[in-house]
Amino acid sequence: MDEAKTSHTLTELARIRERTAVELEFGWIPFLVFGLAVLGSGAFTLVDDNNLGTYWLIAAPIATLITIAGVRRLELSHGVVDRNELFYAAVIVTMTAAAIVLGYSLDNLASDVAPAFPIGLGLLIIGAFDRSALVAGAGGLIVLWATVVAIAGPGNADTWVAFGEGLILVGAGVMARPRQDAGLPQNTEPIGRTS
Amino acid sequence: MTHPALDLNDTVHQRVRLGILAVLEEAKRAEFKYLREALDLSDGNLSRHVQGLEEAGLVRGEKGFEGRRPRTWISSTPAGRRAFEQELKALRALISRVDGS
Repeated sequence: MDEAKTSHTLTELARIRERTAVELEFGWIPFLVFGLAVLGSGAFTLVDDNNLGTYWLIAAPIATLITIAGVRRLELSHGVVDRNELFYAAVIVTMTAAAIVLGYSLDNLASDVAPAFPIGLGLLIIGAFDRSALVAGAGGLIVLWATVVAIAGPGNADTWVAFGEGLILVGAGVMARPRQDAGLPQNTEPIGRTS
Repeated sequence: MTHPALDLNDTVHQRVRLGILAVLEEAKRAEFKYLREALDLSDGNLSRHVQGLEEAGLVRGEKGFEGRRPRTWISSTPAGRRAFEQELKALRALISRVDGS
């Protein structure tokens, strides 16, 4: 195999991997689903400020099931399954459970802002793992927003945290989605045609 | 020091087979149809290469149904992922050897 052919093969393989990675970008689903659930929690606090824990005990499993069903449906329609799906699922479940536990176990302002931190940290971990500036950026923004609300200490801090966090999550979901719809890079020479 | 060409794996060292393993390096499993379209192959050509990789223990096939639709999923084995990484290493070593000479 000469150098040019070897180099071409390596480039082609890198493009095939990139195409597959693009096909596997289902991250916008949990962003949108959990973002809407968080926005819903913000609206809930305007009506009932004392039972947010109950809201999440119902909303979290529903959001998780919708996310699993949505990702599974896309995996079947695309014909590829993500190698790291268990890792993502473990981080999402852990950060959601940690947020619920913190909300229940703390009082006053701390219980309003603390649940945002495991969410932000979880996204930072996934962002670092995926080398995704979008996911890490969303995580960082959530941590920053919760810190700002904690320092400002408004009376209805849980509402402020929830609306800010929800908008960040939905925004990240909307930003992640167009790349999925943009399809595959078209500059790849099909490997079967040249073999 | 041995020549990097000696590290090339005869079973894997074929562009279509490398393409299959490249997809399966990213995906836990891929449907036969996805591989066929992604690599622009015919059913027969892809089957032949998948069978070759399967016989070498580098990939495994799994047939099933989603509703009424039959699906064949292909995944790489740990040996397949190792073989792919080693092949990439050998190909890169070949290039750097030529560049360095």
